[in-house]
Amino acid sequence: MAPPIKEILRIIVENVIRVGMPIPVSRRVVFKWAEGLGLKKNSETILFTGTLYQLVPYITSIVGRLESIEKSKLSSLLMSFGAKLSGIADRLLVRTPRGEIERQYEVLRRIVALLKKTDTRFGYLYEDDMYSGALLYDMGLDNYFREHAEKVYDRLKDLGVETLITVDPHTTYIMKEVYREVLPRYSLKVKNYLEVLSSSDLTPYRIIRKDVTIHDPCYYARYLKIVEEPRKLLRSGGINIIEANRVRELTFCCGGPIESISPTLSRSVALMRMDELSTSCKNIVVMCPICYANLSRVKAVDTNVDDISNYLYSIYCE
Amino acid sequence: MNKNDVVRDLRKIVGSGNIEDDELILKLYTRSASNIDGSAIAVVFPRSSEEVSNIVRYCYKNDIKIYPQGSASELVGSSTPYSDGIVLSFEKMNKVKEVSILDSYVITEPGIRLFELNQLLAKYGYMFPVDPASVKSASVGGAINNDSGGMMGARYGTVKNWVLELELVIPDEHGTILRVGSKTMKYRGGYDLVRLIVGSEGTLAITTSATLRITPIPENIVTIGGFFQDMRDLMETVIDVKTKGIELFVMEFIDDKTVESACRTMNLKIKGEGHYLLTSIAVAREASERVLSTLESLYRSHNVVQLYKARSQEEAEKMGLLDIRRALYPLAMKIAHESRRDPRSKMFVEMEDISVPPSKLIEAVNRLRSLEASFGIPMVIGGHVGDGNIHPIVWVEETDRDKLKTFYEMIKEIRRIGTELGGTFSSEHGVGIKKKERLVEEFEFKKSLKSLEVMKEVKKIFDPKGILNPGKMF
Amino acid sequence: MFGERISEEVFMRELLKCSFCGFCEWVCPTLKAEESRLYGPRGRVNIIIFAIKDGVWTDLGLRSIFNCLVCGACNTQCPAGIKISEYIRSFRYYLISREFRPCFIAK
Ligand SMILES: Cc1cc2nc3c(=O)[nH]c(=O)nc-3n(C[C@H](O)[C@H](O)[C@H](O)COP(=O)(O)OP(=O)(O)OC[C@H]3O[C@@H](n4cnc5c(N)ncnc54)[C@H](O)[C@@H]3O)c2cc1C
Ligand code: SF4
Ligand code: SF4
Repeated sequence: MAPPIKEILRIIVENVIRVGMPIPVSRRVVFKWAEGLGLKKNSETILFTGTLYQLVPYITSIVGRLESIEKSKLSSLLMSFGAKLSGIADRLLVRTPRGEIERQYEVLRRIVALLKKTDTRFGYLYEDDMYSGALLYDMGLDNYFREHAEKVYDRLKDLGVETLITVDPHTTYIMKEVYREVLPRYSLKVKNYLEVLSSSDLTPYRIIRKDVTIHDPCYYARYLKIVEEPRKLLRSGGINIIEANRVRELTFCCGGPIESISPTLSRSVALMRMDELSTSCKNIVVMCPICYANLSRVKAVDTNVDDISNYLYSIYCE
Repeated sequence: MNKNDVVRDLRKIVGSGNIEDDELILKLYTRSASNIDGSAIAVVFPRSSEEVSNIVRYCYKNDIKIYPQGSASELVGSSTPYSDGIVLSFEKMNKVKEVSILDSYVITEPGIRLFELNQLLAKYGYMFPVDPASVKSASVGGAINNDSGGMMGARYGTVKNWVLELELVIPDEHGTILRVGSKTMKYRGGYDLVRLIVGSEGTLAITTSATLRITPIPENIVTIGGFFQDMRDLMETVIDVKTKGIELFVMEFIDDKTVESACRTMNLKIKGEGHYLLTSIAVAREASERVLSTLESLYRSHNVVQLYKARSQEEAEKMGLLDIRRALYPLAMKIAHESRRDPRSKMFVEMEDISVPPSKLIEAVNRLRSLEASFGIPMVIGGHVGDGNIHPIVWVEETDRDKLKTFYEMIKEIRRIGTELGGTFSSEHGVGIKKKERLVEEFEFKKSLKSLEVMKEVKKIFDPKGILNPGKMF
Repeated sequence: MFGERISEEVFMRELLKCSFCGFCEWVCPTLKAEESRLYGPRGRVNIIIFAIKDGVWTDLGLRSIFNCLVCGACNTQCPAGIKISEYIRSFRYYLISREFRPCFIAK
């Protein structure tokens, strides 16, 4: 059965136009995590989250729902009314577990703590922290993506931003490579926080003797060549990396990118990857909120999926 | 029979997720690396031998043609559905059933790719040692039915040396399941039906399970790669090494045009000009240096210009000593596409597959070169010189109608060289549709047309109604 | 490759380099899950060719194109050097901008 592709695309576009993000959450969801951290608003260098960590818990709830619709074979009927789906999304947002949201916020706070250990000075844009448009680009919604990218870039320029520090692979790739291709006048410098940390010669505060296996995100490993940085950062903190079957350039996708179009297929891909990773080690390190979400939804109870920033925080921060 | 009825009936046998008749899928499964497109009414994905047997029984009763298919990477049209029928794809029968290190075998379904099989075996320090350049796609079923060979062929030969036992379904009234061969190294139970099936291009029986011999990955492998200005020097090195009683592991070459393209377009650690010869020997670690220096002096005595040595397989891979040879076909594709005039047309790139006794290699290469000159169609050559197998590659643009005729004439001549020098036109790629004519000519040349008659009778015994992969081989 | 720069000719010039060798398939997650050529890189490349060169297009083609993860694993394997995932992504744009009806170019 053909998935309701056109409807899903329409919803994504409508949301991005309406609220600037693929999921219709309130702006506060985006920057609430930074309250009380004392990050300056006006700065040439800013931490640019691309809103992915913050949105992932909401995406997970929606995907769970989409999956049960797909399974119930009612999808063609139900989803041919895109509006209904938007309705479902709205209701689900309310039901998204607090704990999960808090968990992702904590990841961002830890990234800030880590970056503060380096010489890099940076600020944060709060209500102007924006979504990169990654999903529009992935889905081939090029015209909408260009419009969105122009808006984002103009706003960043208005705010006097010169350099972005990004925290996830999708946002990094889009801001670093794709904006440059799409916007001829683009001049922002983009650094990923793992690159910043790795080039800063941090001294471990604590040595952690633990075995882990690494799930390289496709965009870091293949498109951005961020492969050795995370390994170096973990190893110098005493972590022993047991490499899984497909890593580095040959890494196997978590299935996340198609979670909204084909949630069931997305889950099968996640299961295969989980199998590969967990046979090499039960502690799985991820570096992307989408990998985190998609692998977590298929993990066994004795398996532990955790963002790299949590490990790095324990190693490098008091 | 009506197409929809066939699909409906077969769906009852395999279940709805395992049969497709969508137009796009049909196109996708009636094409292969051979560049010949066919047509079919459905693609069926069996999951067990019993299902295969039920499908066959149904097809026998209703006169429906069956085309078995692995990864469709064959180059001669052997997997192409010649006329309407069903494609039997083994993509979903891809499980390894048993690995026995003590008994040195693996039992597997036919759909698994050789590369994936070897990834699994590597965990035990073992391998299935047939490594066609297409290992990453070639399935076990396809490799068996094509009797594939590869770079390690100099040492291990082709698939036929590595199959112990087969489970087959034959296209008779009952879809009978046969089990031939034995798990043991030695077996003399009647005629050798295993080796009859190996290389039969899916025309006699459908392979549903195979017990393959496996062998330990060698302790160490040393490799030497060198560039020669003169092809004659290169070939004389080959002959010299072969007459010194050294047991080869790999011996491969590519010509100067491919080398030039490789050095220009690949990110290689080695550089050179002229023709490239690669030799690997499996050795005990202690003997590495000695073997390498013997090889080096042989290469030097034939005027090698640049020379690279690797003391282990990892080192050889790091230096790219093997990659440059592996790239023969892709490089030929690249060179071919660089000459494309119409961006909307396809390039027909034909990789030929002749073998000659190694003593005739120099003559073969000279004759190939003069064909290139007289026909005015560009050619690159390379191949498994260790066993006398050369792959001349030639190309033409689909829309270049004037040249197409010359192109096919030239290919005929290339094939003839193999036969005439005491070898063959068909070493490891098979006959399929493309080389049927040449098969007759070769037997004619050998004054042995009766052999073909015998083969056709054999086909009738297995496939009385002629429904299994018809139109292939003869 | 982005937006309006994409034409039928751009697809054909690059994708017709595909030799149908299948080397790209073993790394593809969606192919491994679905166990069908349709959901792998070789399938997707050829679906695009069939749509544009032969005028054959169905809903399953749409499904296959939009089920690609654009993970880029296939790009590391292609001996013809085709950046497969980039063309799949671009073909999505191509489809969307033509209301999901690919244009058949006659020879
Ligand atoms: C770039 C490239 C390089 C190549 N290099 C080599 C090489 O070095 N050496 C070499 O030997 N070949 C080579 N080949 C040819 C080909 O890849 C191999 O012969 C391969 O083993 C075919 O496997 P397959 O799974 O693709 O089989 P297919 O192409 O699907 O089928 C091959 C034949 O086997 C039959 N078949 C498949 N499965 C079954 C089954 N289960 N039961 C009965 N019949 C079956 C088919 O009907 C067909 O006749 C190359 C091909 C390409 C494209
Ligand atoms: S990019 Fe698409 S086709 Fe390529 S490996 Fe990933 S899922 Fe498969
Ligand atoms: S690896 Fe490249 S040439 Fe081979 S089938 Fe895939 S896309 Fe085509």
